[in-house]
Formats: sequence, structure tokens, C-alpha cells
Amino acid sequence: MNIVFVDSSIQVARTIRDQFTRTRISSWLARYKLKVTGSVVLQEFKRRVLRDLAYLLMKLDQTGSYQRTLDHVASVLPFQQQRKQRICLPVLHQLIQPPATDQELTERARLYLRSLIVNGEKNFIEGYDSIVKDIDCYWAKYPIREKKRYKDYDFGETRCSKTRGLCQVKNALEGKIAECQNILAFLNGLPETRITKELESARNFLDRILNQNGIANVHSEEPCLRFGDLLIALESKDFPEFYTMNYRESQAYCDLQGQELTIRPNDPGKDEEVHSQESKPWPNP
Amino acid sequence: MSFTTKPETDSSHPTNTGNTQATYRKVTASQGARSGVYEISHERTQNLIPRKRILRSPQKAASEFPRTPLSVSCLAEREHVGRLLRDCLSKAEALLEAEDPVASALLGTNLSNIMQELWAYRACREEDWIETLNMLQIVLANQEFETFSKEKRIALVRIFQEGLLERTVGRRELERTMRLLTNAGFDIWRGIQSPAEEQLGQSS
Repeated sequence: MNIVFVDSSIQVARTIRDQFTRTRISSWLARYKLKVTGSVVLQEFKRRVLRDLAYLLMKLDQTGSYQRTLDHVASVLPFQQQRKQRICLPVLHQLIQPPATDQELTERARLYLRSLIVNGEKNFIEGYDSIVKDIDCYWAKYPIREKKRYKDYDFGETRCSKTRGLCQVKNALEGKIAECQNILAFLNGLPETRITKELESARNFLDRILNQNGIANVHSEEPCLRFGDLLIALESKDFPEFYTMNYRESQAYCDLQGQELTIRPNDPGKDEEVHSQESKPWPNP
Repeated sequence: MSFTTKPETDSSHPTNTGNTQATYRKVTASQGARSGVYEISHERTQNLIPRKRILRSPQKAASEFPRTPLSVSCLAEREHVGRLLRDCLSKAEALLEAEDPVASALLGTNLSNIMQELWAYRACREEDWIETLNMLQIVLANQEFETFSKEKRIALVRIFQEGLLERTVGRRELERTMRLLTNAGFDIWRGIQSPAEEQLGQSS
């Protein structure tokens, strides 16, 4: 039976990228009998996609105009916030026929964004056969609450330290000490050409919790927010295939865990790159 | 309150002509004859005032919970909407049966046009109904109906039967509609898909 674990980069891309990329992702996923993902991926999806939709809804409310909101997003948001730009540039004006007035587009955009914010999480969960909850991220479980229609949405916080001890990441890491030690040893042994900035910070984090400060105060390190790739790797370790757009960090974790790594390239015209255990050594990131 | 009916009408809104008399205008565009089916929804006549508040201070309670005026009945509009929805259902059913691609494309276009007409009458329906219709229009915009799979066609029939044609559409119906769309292979996120990379570069 073929099972794939889907990373957050794929989940975000299949909701906001261009149509061609989405089709490529869907057709690749269609070859698997079971598609699974993890609680940290869900938390990242809520933080990176649904929150940005709420931002757009708030801007629509503020400006009262679809066109002015698009102008604002395009001219005010810096280039570094490209992902937010992607999400905040809806294409309703290209879809609605006959061409609609700004007033109608504003109304449609508000309705549409609200539908996605309120039902997006459910849609995410139903898109998978299972959600692995090994890490049991608290903010992944926190339901999105609509306080005031079109105006006020409660997504909870993003930091583990703000859960008043309810985040189970500490217990999860305590139960995975051996895996963490393996990852730390592996990262310590990796050549510098394969170590990225994120891998280095994950290595330092593991070193701190295993050899220096202990796991007791792990919440203060905000692991679900800052070390998502590492936690996703821990949640995915039992699955033979890992599907992602992020080669830089995944190459190390999949190499260690003996997983087959499938990369969806940024260019939608390119095919998926499969890195099997037999095709080692894998290229440097 | 009494009503007088004008023989020729072009608007669907009842107009109040005085303190006690109102003119009731019908939507007659789709009515060859008066329909026997009226879809009358419950309309709340006033805000509820907690009994304790009234007992404590009637004046204060009245000011805190002002009575909303009786809403203008949009019975005729709702009937027209019901008729259009039944048209949508019959088009969707015909689309399900259609094997010829040309017939499928024509039926799909008809369906889109009826939904566009429904959008014009959105004011007389509840917000969740409008959201459901909006979602459906976005998902079906610029689609090639002749290439629709059987699952997609079945989903459309079910959406009208179990969603939009319900007497009162709430959050649950919207949720069910989105589930039906996704399970059938429609993309509910297509309204926020990013533009091509070069467009993104220019805009930044």
C-alpha cells in the first residue's frame, strides 16, 4: 500500500499557487492510496493561509473597495511578504462574468473569504485520510472562532508559550528522546555544504534541550512556531514517502529517516523529482 | 394593513403609500400563472426582550432592545427565487443525463445564467444562502461543462437539492455544499489562486 506524508509547503501551494501547479500537485497525489499529514502542518496552514485571508477580509472592510484593497496589497506589502501578496491578490475580477462593478466584487470577495475562513480548516482535514497527532500542537486544535461576521475572527495565538501549558509538545518530545538524539547526531555529522540556516538552528535547539537546559522549559523556545520542519519530520517518520516543495531541509530529515523524498519544483512546467534511498548521494541543497 | 395590487409591475418591492395602505408589487417575470407553491420563510417580527428585564424596568428594556419594524415582505421575490432554483435543479439534472458535449455546454451556460439572475435577487434571502450561491458561482466560473465528470454533475444536482433549495440555508448547508464541491473534484480555492509569476513581480 502506498502512503504519502504531505508537507505544509505542498498544502499551501495547493491552495494559493497558480492553476497549473495545483493540477500537478493533485495529479501527483492521486497516485497514492492514502494521504496523511500532521498537526504541525495544520497549524502552519492556519497560520500562513487562513490568517492571511482574515487580513484581506479586514482590509476589504477598511477600504470598502475590492480595487483599493488590491492596490493596497500590491503597493504597501513588501516583496519579502510575497506569500501574503499571493494570497491577498484574489482573482475574482477575472472569474466573475459579466464583468462586475467594484461594489459587487467587494461584496463577493467578503462573502467568499468568509466562507474560506470558516470552512477552510474542515476542508483541510477532509482532504486527508489521516492527521498524525504525535506532536499534538495546541494551536492546531484551536478552532477558528467567528466573533463578528466579516469582522472579527479568533485564530488563537502562534506561540507555544501562550498556551498556559496546554501544548503537548513537551510531552511529545519527552517520548521521542531517542529520535531527537538520532537527529542531533545526524545533523552534527552532516557536511557544511548540506547544512542550511534552518537546519543549524534546529541542531542548536536539539542541543539545548538534550544537553543543556532540558525539555522542561521547551515551551519558551516556541518549537511549533520556530522549528516546524523538525517537528514535521518527527511526525512523518513512520511514513515511507514525503512530498514537499522544500528540498533544503527535507533532504536531511528524509535521508536520516530512510524516506523517499519527492520534490515539487517551483516551476510548474517541471516534473516531480523523486529522491529514493537507492539514488544517494542526493545533491546538495 | 390593506394592499392594492397594480396590474402592471416592474419592481418587486412593496411600497408603503401611507400609514395604513401599501401597494404590493409582484415579480411576474417568470410567472405564466400564479404558482400554487409559495415558499414562505419565518420572519422574526421583533427582538426578544428578556422577561426579567421587562419586569425590572419596562422603559429601560424597551430602549435597550428596540423593536425592529416589521420587515417588508418579499414573498413574491422569494417565490421567483424558488422558481429559478427549481429551474437550476432541472438544468443540473439534465446536465447529469446529457451525453452530448454540445448539449452539456449549453445546459451549463444556462445554469450559469440562471445563477446570475439569482444573484440579482439575493437581498431577499439569508446571508448563508448568498454565500453558498457566491461560492458556487466562483467555482463554476469559466468552466467547461462538457468535460465535467459524472461526480461533478451529481454534485451539482445534490447541491441544489440539499443546499440552495432548502427553505432556510444556514452554516451547515454552506459547509455541506463546500464538501460536495471538494469531494467531486471542484476547487473551492480557485478565487485566490495567485497570478502568474511575472504579474506578481510587476505588482511588487
